Amino acid sequence: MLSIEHYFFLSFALFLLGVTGVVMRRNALVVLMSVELILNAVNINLAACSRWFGDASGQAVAILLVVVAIAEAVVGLAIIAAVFRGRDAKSGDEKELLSW
Amino acid sequence: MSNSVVFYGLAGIAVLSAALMVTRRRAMQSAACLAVTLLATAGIFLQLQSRILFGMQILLFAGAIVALFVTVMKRLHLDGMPQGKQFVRRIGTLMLIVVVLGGETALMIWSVRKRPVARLLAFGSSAAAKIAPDARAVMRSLFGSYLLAFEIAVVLLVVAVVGAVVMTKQKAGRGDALD
Repeated sequence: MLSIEHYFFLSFALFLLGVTGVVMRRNALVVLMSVELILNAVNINLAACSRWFGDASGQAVAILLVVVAIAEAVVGLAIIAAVFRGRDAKSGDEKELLSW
Repeated sequence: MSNSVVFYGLAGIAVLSAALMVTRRRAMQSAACLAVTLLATAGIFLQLQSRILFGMQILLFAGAIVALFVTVMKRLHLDGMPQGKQFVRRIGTLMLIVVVLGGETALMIWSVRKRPVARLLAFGSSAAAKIAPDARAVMRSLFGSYLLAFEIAVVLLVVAVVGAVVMTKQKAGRGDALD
């Protein structure tokens, strides 16, 4: 039988994979995707707690989190686009720009 | 019974494709794996009977955000095979995060287990399960007690969109890139 721990563990695993991507990847796009994964893991936790306690607040906060995730993706991709505009990313100078 | 089969299937797909997303070399493959993870999460939301999050997950996360990533990648030609090292060795930082997060998860599970009433309310048991909050209750909560947070999120989104337009706007006389 499923209990709330299952959802905690799933959320933990996804969050950890996202943190691994943020900390260890050099590619800025994949780092942004990993941040999305982290926010997604938090959403799972919120939805599970909302279902568990029969309270709608968790889902309301999850909706706000989706809005924050979209804003983050928009700004992050705009920064990447501003940095890489008109530059061939496959050329040698990408190494320094994509890493951090 | 079938509930847990669905959960384990979706969770397995989500974790596996998330691991692939972190480890793939090409950013385009990472985007595809991210889409699979987000869709599996949408299935988990449906299983948790939060239909509103299910819809938002498919439309906004797996739809809009992944499409945005792929569009930017294609426009800026960032989807080629990258050269050189893809990973930074930060094992110490990662281990610290693992320990802190693991402790936090253990604390969370312990605090849930301590509540005898909540423990009875396992998801599958129809006798004790509480009614899942429906879309009406979620919206009542969102536009009731979370109205200020909602307005702040709206302002944040407007600022983000305006900032993105300003940042990617082409200067006069430069006709390259994002046409």
